[in-house]
This record gives sequence, C-alpha cells and structure tokens, in this order.
Amino acid sequence: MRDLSTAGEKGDLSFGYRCLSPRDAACTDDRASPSLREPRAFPAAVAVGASFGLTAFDVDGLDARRVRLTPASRELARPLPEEGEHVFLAEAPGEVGFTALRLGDSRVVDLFHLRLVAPSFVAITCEDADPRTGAPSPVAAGAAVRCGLVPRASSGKVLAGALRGRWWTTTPDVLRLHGPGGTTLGEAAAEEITVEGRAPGLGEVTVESGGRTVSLALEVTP
Amino acid sequence: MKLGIAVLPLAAALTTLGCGPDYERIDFSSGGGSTPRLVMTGERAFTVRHGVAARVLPVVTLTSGAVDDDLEDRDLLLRSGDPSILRVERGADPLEYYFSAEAVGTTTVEVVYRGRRRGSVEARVAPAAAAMP
Repeated sequence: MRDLSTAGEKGDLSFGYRCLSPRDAACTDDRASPSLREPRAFPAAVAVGASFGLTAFDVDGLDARRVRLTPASRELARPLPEEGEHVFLAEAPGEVGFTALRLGDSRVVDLFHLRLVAPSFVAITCEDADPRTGAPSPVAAGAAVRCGLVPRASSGKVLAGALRGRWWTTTPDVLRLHGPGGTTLGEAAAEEITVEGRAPGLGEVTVESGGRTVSLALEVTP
Repeated sequence: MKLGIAVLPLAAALTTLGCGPDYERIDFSSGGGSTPRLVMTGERAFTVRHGVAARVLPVVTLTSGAVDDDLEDRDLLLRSGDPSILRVERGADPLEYYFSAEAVGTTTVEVVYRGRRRGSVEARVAPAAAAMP
C-alpha cells in the first residue's frame, strides 16, 4: 500500500501534500487515487509561482485540527487563507521549513521542509495528450478538453504545484475557452481551463504565467 | 553545624536572586544531517539559511567549564531581537526551541538564564542560495 504521508523531522507528527488542481503533477502521476483532495507524500519539489496545500495527520493524543502549519518565511511560502486552511503560494526558490504549532500553548510539536524550485520551462498540457511527446490529441467540433500548465525544472523534471495563468485564444472562431467549472473565462488567472472545439481548423491557446507566455496549437476536427 | 544551617538558606536565596551557577556561554545544537540547519560560527554567533526552520537544543556552559545539566525549561528563555528576521518559538519538549529564518539579515537571540539577562548571540540569516560557512 502506498504511503500517503511524510514523517515530520522530529518524528512526532505526519504530514501530507494536497493538490489544489487536477493538473498538479503530484497528483496526475497517481490516477488510481480516489480523490484529488486526498493527501499524499511530499513531492520532490514544488514550482515557484504555484499554489499547494498541506495537512497534518492525527497522532496519538494530538488532534491534527489543533495544529497550525506556519512557514518559516512568508517570503518563500505565503499563506493563502482566503483559499483554505494550510494553502500556500510558493513565492521564491529555496528550502522552506514549516513548523506545526499546537494551538492553545503555541508550542511547536514538529517540523518539515519543502524544496521550492523556479521552473525553467512551462508547457500547456491537455487531457489525452501523447504521454511521450505531450502533443495534444485533436478535438472534435462540439467536444471539449481540459488543459493546464506543467512546470519543469532545468533538469526536465516535472515540478509539483498548481500554476495559474491568464488564458486566451487568438482563434475564437475555432476554439472557445471556459474557466474552471465551465465558467466564462475572464481576466482572472486560472489553473485549468476547458477548451471547446467550435469549428474545424487549427486553433491556438495561449497563456501568460509568471512572466512567461506559452502557446499550444490545437486541431479541431469535424 | 550552625554555620551549615545558615549557609544553606543563603545559597538558596542567592540562587533565587540569580546568583546561581556562573553562566559562561550558550551553544545551539541543531539537526539536519549533512546540511545542518544552523551552524555556530563562533562562541556567540550562528548562521541559518533564509527560509529554514531549525530545531534547536540549547546547551549552557558554566564558567567552571562544565555543562549545566540541571537546566530546566523555566531556567532559560530565548527571545529574538527582531522577529521579522528570526522567529524564536518554544517547542513542546522541555528546553526545545525552533528558530525560523524569516528574512535575510542580522539580529540577536537574547538569553535570559535563571532570571537574569546574560547577553545575546548574533544571528545571521543568509540568503537561501548562499553556501553555508
């Protein structure tokens, strides 16, 4: 059975990583997992610019709900309380520590570290893409496919985290873009979009994220 | 015999007033394997890398050269001179502290030992990418 937790460095608590988007590489490599929100062991590294969730597990005598996870430096990992408890944004590269503070007496019970790496490459990937080349499969007119961003380190290794971007298309006659849950895509940044084929032709999807602009050609078939 | 009876309360009173064992210095031991989270760079200075959290176990050395083995949680208080650079928090175990390197810069960790302020230790938070000394 796969271990879905990572032991704290002191050994008194266990912690888990939570994906905030189905496009987070820490979750896409585990399609058998029953739930996106299910915590899992820590990834090797999280992309700078990406958001991610953390959790603490119950242990004997300590309720994980009575623990607050605090980054050692908000300059490296900024809490995003408006997006949920223990949700963070990777702000800068480095090794960032998190302390588990026991509510009530504010004593630290354990700690762990995560590695944050600035992505060297960012690519758009869509469902049903070629697993080897990453090339997207054609979309039939009237059909839709979900796309997101995949950050990679200079080594080519995929980095974890939900990377947001501002999406648009220069070929609105061929493709229509929808925000998360089928909402209208506005100016707000999104981690994942749905691309709908409108009419046969060659369309283009473009996204701006973290100062990078990336495009993907997508064929719409009859 | 009468002298002994008189000396004992006097020693207890002096200890209460902060005239207990003579403090010489404090050292911070920290885990981290081959890349320690905290490195002592002198008798009264240490460096941590920006962003890390270090579990710290303080060791007090007396002027006699001996380590204070009788140290209890209430005997020692460490506090940061600037929590915007280095946060100092108590751990759940006795005599356990956690140092969080919040921002690059230099500050101090003030030492209160047996009720008296005993100076400070210089704390340098080095940039995350910089090599440790």
